[in-house]
Amino acid sequence: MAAHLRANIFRYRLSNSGLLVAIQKCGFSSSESVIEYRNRLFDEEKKRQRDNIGRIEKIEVRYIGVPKNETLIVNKDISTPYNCAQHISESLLRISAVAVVNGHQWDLHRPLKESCTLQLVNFRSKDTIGVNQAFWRTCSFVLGGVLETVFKDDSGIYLHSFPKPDIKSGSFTYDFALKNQNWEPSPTELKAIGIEMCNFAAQNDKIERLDVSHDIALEMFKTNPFKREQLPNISNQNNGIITLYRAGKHIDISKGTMIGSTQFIRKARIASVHKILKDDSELYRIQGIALPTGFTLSTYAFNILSDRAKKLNTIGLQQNSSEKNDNQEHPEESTSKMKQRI
Amino acid sequence: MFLSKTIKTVLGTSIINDVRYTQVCFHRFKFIPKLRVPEWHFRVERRAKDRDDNLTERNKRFINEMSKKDHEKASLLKVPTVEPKEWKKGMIRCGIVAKKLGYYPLWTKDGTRICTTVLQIIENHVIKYAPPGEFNPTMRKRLGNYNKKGCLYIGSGEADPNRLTANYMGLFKESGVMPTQRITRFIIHPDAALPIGTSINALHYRVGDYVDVLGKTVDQGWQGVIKRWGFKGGPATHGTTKNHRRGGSLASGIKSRIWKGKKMPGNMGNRWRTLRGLKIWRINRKENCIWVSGRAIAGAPGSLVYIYDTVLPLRQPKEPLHFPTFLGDESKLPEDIYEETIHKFGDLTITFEPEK
Repeated sequence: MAAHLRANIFRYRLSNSGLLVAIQKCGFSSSESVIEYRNRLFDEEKKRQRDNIGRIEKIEVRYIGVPKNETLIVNKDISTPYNCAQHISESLLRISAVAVVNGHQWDLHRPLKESCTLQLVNFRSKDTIGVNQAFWRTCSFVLGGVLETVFKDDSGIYLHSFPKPDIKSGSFTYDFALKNQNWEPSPTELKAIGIEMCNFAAQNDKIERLDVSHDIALEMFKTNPFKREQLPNISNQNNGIITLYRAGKHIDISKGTMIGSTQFIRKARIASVHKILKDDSELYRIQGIALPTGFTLSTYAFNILSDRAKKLNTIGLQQNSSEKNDNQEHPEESTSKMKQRI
Repeated sequence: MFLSKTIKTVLGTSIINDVRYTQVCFHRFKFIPKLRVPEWHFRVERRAKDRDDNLTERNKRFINEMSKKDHEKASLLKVPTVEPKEWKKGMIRCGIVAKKLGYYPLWTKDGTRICTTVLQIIENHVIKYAPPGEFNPTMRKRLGNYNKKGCLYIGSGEADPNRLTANYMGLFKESGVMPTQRITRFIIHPDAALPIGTSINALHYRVGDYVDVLGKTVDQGWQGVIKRWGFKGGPATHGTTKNHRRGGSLASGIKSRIWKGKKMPGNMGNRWRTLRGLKIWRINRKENCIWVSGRAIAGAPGSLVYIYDTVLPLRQPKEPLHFPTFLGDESKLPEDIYEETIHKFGDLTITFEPEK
């Protein structure tokens, strides 16, 4: 079973699927190049967008919160809520998970576009429902990154997507496909993946966001058939723009807010892996639970949560259109829906 | 110190490893008994600073409910049936962990009052059995023939699983028993082994038999020589200067030094002491209580004590003991079992014939 860890994408054929096509051998010598190439494109696009700004304009940001309300003058399209926090207080840097700009959730490392009101939300703020969702979403995102590195070269792993976060479902998930459809993970393997996730999180990478055009995203994910299929749908719903997030070297598509950095993920445990049928493909759904830093929980209570997480998480598996993938929803829509729920 | 040599050697076979008989005097700081670390070298309880879980009231209630459900599930565990075995003299069977509740008088049928201590047998579950080859005691000299003795690990007392570390809870995984407050080792004859998950109750003992009870004496703290050793001290008056509660002379000219073990002030109490040959007068099978003679069992009411079958040669049972434990039908026995000479409270009062 250890034969499955470590991935190297060369050739992948799914004979039991109608939608997917046999893929040509990629022009890369090793999987390292795929990730490096993707990161290079990300950096180039990021630099290009920064250069396009031209003359730097100033915007007024009204910060509301502790230690006191302040008005900051920051750079338009360059300064992020994190930079604003740097002006205010060091403790805010350590604890802030997500920003709220003009009442909407905003990534901590996403540049501000216009004068606005800013609030910095941490895990112990009064209104933490948005933060919980962002945390769950980030856990799925990080899990995807871990899966790519943890599987062996000849396993043929392809990440599919992760569904909308719902804490009531009991776990965060990631769907992926393996060349060999008969992976039955042992408890040791699940534990190993959980530990890898904690190691990844401990690297303390900040989670960057980048809006790219459809073409660039297609070039980045050309080796992943699932992502290539999903891109047209996403860009059509969002004026041809695709939102990418990067943590360390892992890049993924998601429309929702992520927390500021991976260091908030403290205690991650992978509960189970289920075989599912999604978009006419046979995929593996890996499920886990995690706790943010600063939160302690007895092993007994954590075991109750992880036993619940073993059950199949059915989000994104139903046929009705209300259940969508996370990457098909605009972040503003999702926050307004959350507000309605409150 | 209080026991003769012959009894000490006989005792050697039935004492648990954490017993100490030597007095140790440390001047100037509080006596903390040298902890002999148990086989599992990790914390039992989570550290206080890690226990601040910040749970909502609703979540706390939910976790408590789950804990109760798990306790119920564990109590319905299917335990393999135990076969009764033949008991011979010298075959040591399992002991029991009990709570010292307090003192109660009982009367014999001729009106004599007996002081008794009530001991309640709290939940005792077998967690593990180490057969003779596997059992590796820390104190080898005291236990003769440890190669031929097995060891039963008994868990006793309900514990809140939220306070326990993952490592400690792992000790109970195999048995399926819910984690307990205390794990005790009882060194036994291999035939007295009980299957994992078995629970032992008061009917393990019989009325009229004798037991030894081991407990930790009440900690009196640092005490002077008069209270600690019963010295007479000095005169209160007649011009005595500053010598009312002192120890007097330390040594004489021989050897020119003070003997080791010289009785001096020091920490008193907080020691393990066994009381031998206590008779069982009454057993209540519903509340799992046994009434044993005397009021001298070490420890304050509410503390845990360990009960063993007596080692005294003149108090051995005349009939074979329940071996390895009581396996009969509980419902056939009365709720309260009294020793034959004891007056039952429901009976008519004891009357005396007028003296002529």
